[in-house]
Amino acid sequence: MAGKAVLTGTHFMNGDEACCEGALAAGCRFFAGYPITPATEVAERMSRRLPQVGGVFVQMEDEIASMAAILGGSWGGAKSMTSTSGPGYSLMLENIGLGLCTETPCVVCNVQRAGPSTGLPTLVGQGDMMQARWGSHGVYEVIAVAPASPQEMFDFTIKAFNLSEEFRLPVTILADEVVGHMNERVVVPPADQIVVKDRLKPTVPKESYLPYQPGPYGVAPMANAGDGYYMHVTGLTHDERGYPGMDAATQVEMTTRLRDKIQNNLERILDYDTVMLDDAEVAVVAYGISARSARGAVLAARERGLKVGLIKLNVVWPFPEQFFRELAPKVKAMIMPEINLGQMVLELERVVGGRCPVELVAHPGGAIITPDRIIKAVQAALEEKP
Amino acid sequence: MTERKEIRIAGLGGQGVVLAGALLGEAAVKQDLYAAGSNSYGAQARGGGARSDLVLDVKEIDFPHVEHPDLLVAMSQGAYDLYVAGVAGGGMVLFDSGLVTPQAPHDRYGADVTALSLNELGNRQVANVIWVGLIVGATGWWDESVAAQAMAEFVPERFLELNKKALALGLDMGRAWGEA
Repeated sequence: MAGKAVLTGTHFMNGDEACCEGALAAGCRFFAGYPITPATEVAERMSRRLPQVGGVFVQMEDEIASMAAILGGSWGGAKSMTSTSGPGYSLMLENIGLGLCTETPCVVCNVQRAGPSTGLPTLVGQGDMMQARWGSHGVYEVIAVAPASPQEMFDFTIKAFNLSEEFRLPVTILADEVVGHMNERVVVPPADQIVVKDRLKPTVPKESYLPYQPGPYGVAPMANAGDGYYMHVTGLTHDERGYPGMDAATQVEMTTRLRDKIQNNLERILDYDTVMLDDAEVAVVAYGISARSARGAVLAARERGLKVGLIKLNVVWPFPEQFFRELAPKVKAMIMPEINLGQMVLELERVVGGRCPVELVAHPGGAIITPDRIIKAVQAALEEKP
Repeated sequence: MTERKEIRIAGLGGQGVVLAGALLGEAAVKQDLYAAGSNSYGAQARGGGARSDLVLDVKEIDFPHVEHPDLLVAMSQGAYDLYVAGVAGGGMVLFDSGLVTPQAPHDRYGADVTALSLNELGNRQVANVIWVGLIVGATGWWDESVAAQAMAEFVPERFLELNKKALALGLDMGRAWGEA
């Protein structure tokens, strides 16, 4: 595999390895990280692969430094990434906030294991879903994707890089131990068939460049440090020049920018698949590895004549609010399986707003949810008197 | 192979359990089957429990984990004891007869693979490739030539001849089991 950034062909590889290959295909050339089960294989493969394509791999002293390093790498002009699991993600969150505030494109792959704390290092969890949305302090929007297979680890890592470049923010890949460690077929297309997006570059004279002034579609072009443009990068509330403004007016202006660049571009960001939803009386809503159990359940239930469909969330943050508001009155119930005791289901309940019942199929982690449990929940929902 | 098959290969760390599973998964993908492989092992380099699970199907695999194996390969007594009860009805159990004392009805397909690898091939490290041959021969779920091709990609060049012999040895014995 020497020298090639895009390993076109069919592979039998695990999700962590596929994530690494997706990153390289998307143009990632800087990785800083600290190994942790079950994400170690991402870093391990990156350490071999990046030098082959002229990139740089740095093993950092911890996850706080890892996150800081990739923000710096990105400002230096390199597409940058780190990978970790829950305990490391907790440490990264302060600097993820810095990345959100300074609108720094980069990708964080969180291969979730069961928690809290050190939890079950080698076993699956989906307990960091809300942490990815709200874990850093303050007022901001995020983007997070949820792959359900090694193939999607490849595809969605490219997607994560593209979204991070397009909208200038850290994007989290909310993977999990099963997806990360499972070996499956991964098809890597030819390089010229992979869509790669790059951050907008300034087109104005260097002296008049404003590093945070929204450009087309509300996102500011980004110059590389060292290219000679005036720039100021700070975690303090700042104006379009990047200068700190210690007042409410600057805070309103900045957080509005951070919100609008996501909320005004939802049609470019939201992504979900549906299976047999058209005539469904019950909708199963799932993401990541749980979406596979859900698909198995939906197909098996259909064979028994039950009218059930699936919505598989590929992008989990931002949440497709409008879609679910419109779906709610058309179904008898929605069912969400997740490997936590209820996180994304809270968002679903909020959005549905009582227009249909929302049921949780929960597992606290250590194993994935079996299709049988979802089928039982579907049957129960169909038997409920309206 | 026309429908979903669940395979569990289990033994001790150092026996090549994970490599055997990876090789069989690679071979399956090469012949356009869907395959989902998961491994589990302890922290020890040698001696802890090791397990390689593989799901094969002709269509996309939704639930990727093994629940009731159609094929169990037990390379240690501990693995046999732990997993034999979960074998699917009509499932096949292969075991290392030098390391496992089986019980009926899962006592038919035993071979002293560890001794064979030492006595016939002079290298105990090829035992897992003999197992791959046994599995492919006994089940008929893989194309033998594709399995050989996958094996050739997995082993270092200087051990290729040795591993070819190991695979052939396993295939011969496995075919006899498959016909029995």
